[in-house]
Amino acid sequence: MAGELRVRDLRVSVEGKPILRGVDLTVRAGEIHALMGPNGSGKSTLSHAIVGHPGYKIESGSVSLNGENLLDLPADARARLGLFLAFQYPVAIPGVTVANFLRSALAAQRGGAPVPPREFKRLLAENLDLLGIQEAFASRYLNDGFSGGEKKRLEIMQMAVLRPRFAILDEPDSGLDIDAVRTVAEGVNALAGPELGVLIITHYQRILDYVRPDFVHVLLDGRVVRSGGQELVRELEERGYDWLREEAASGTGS
Amino acid sequence: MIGYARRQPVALAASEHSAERAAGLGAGAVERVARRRNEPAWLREQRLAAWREYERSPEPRWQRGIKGWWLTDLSRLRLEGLRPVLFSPSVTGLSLPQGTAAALRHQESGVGVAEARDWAARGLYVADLARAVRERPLLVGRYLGGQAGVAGDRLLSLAAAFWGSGVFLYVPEGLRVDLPVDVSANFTTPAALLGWRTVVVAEPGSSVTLSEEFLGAEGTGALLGAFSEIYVGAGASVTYATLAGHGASNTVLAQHRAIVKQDGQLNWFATNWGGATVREVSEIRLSEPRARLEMTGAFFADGGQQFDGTATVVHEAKQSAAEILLRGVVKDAARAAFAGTIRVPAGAQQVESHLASHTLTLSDQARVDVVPSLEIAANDVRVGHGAAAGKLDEEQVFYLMSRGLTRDQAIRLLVRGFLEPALTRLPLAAARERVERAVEGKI
Repeated sequence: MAGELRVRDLRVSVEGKPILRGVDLTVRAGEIHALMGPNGSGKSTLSHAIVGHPGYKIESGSVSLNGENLLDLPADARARLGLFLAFQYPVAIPGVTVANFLRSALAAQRGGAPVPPREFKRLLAENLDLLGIQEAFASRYLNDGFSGGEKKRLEIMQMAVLRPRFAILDEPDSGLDIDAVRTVAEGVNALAGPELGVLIITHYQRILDYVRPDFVHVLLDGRVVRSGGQELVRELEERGYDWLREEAASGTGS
Repeated sequence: MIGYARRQPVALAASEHSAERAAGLGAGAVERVARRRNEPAWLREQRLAAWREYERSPEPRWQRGIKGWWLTDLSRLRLEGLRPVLFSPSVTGLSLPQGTAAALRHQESGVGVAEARDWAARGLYVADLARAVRERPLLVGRYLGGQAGVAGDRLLSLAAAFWGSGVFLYVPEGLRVDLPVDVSANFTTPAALLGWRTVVVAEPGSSVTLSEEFLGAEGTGALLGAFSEIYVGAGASVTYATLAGHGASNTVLAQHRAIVKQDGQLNWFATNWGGATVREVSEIRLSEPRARLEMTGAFFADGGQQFDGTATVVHEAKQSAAEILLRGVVKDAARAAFAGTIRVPAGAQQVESHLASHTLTLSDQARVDVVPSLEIAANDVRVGHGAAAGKLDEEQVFYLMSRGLTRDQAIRLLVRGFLEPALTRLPLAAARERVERAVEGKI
C-alpha cells in the first residue's frame, strides 16, 4: 500500500522480556494519530522498534512503510525512506555541532550529495525561526547541556529540516511548560499536511489541545486495546486507564 | 617493522636520491659527517659523545612496569642495517604559503625555503638547522643540546650522533610574530636512520608559532629520532604544534623538552597518527614564577600501531600553571599508552595544574592505557587529573543512524566530535584540515 505506515501483529521483547504482544496500527499520509497509555504500556518500545533500534528484538509481526518491509532494514535505511522519530530522551553528542550534524543528516537523506552551503544556511535560519530557536544554537554541541525544552524543540526542528513522510513523536511534551508545549505543537502543525503521517505518543491530553489528532489509540500491556477519535482523549482524562484494563481482562475490549 | 638492510636490498640498491649517506655506523662515520659539513668542534664533540653513549647503552626494551601492560621489544632491531641519511644542504626557493611568516619544506633532495622579508628584517631567524650552524654558529651553540639528553637511550643516542637536519627558529626580544612559521619534512628513503632536531628560542617579550609536520612514504622501515628544545623567555609566548604523519612502517622516537621562564607561556600541540611504533617523551619545566603551559595531545592509532607517550610537567616555581588535555582513539589491534606526570617540588606554592585525558576505543582488540601521576611536595596548590576511557556509545550511533547516516558515517562524525576539543586548538587551519583528513582516512 502506498502512503501508509503499517504495523501488523507486532511482538517485541527487550532483554528477553515480552513488551509488545501483537500491535496493529496503520497511519496514512495526511493523518495525525495519537497513541496514549500509562507508563510501561510499551509506547516507547513501539517507537524504537518501528525505527529500528537494535536493542529491541522483533519476535514476530511486520512493519511496512509504503508497502516496503522495514524490519529487514537498519535504522539509517528506514530513515532514508522517510521515517523519523523525535526522541523522548535525545542523547548528547559533545564535539558535534547542531549545524554540522544537520548538514550531515541532510546530505545522508539526499544520498550523500553535499548540501550547498547557501541552501543549508537558508534552511537552518528558516527552521530555527519556526521553532523560536536562536541562531547561536546551531554552533552548540548537539543536545550537550541543553534544557529539556531545547532538546524537544531541536527534535522538531530536525523534523522540519529533514522533511520525513512519517514522523513518530515520542512524548514531545513531557517535561515542558505550557509555552514550550505550544511552541512544539505549533511546529508540528506547521509541518503537518497531506504528505505527512504523524504518530504522537503522549501521556497527557495537553498537547492534543494544540495538535488535533484524527485518531486516538490506547496501548495497554503491549496491545492496542481501544481506538477512536478525539472524544477518547476526554474519556481517558476523566476515567483514567483502569476501566480499559478491566475491559481488556474480561475480553470486551476492541 | 624496522628496516633491516637485508630485508630491503633491492630497494636500497635501486633508490636514487641526492641525499647524502654516511657509509656504515661507527665513530669514523660520525667524524666524516662532521668533517663533510665543516661543523665546529663543539658540534663534532656533541656527535661523538652521543656515539659513545650509543655504544655503552643497552639494547632497547620498552616495557611498562605495570602488570598486563604491553611490551614493545626492539631488541631484535638490526641497527647496523640502517643507513644514516643526511639531508642535502642544497636550498631552493619556495613561494611563501599564504598566511605564514616563513616556511621550510624538507625533502631529501634539498630544502625549500621561503620567508617574508619584513619579518627577517626585524630579526626573525628561521633556517634549516645545518644551515643555521654555518650561518649562526655561536647562537646555535648556545641552545642546541642545552636541554636534549640521550643518557642510557641507545636509539636516541644514535639519532643524536647522526642527525641530519632540523629547524632553528630564533625570535629576538620583543618581536611578536603574528603569522605562523610552517615547516614540513618528508622522509622517503628506505631503511634510513634519520635524526631531526628542532630548536625554538623566544627571547623575552616575543611571540611566535611554529607548525611542524612530518610525513613519510609507505614501507620505508626507517628509524627516526626527533628532538625538540624549546626556550620560552620571560613574558614570551610560543605555540608549537607537531603534526606527525610518519610513514607506516617507521619507528619513531621523539624527545621534547621545554623550559618556560617568568610569565612566559607555552602552547604545545602534539598530534600523531602515523608510524608503526612511536614513542614520545615530553618534559616541560616551568622554571620561574607564573610560567604557563597549555598542552594538547591528539592521536589516532589503528592497524598494529603502537603509540607510547609520556609527558611530565615540572612546576619549579610558584604560581606556575599547566593544563594538559589529551584525546586519543585506538582501533583494530592498535595499542597506546600515555603516562602524564605533574610534579610540584616543595616551595612551589600557588601552583595550578590539571591533566585531563579522554580515550576512545573502537574495537575489542585495541587497547589504550592512561596513567596519571601527581608528585606533590608543596601544600598550597590546586592540582588534579581526570581520565575517561570509553567505547563507542551505541546510543549515539543509533541516534545518528535514525537521522539517515550510515553506521560508518555516524562513527566518522562521532570520532571527529571526540577529537574536536583537541583539534580546535591547532594553530594552522591548513594543517588542521590535513589532520582531519588523515583521521577520516583511518575511521
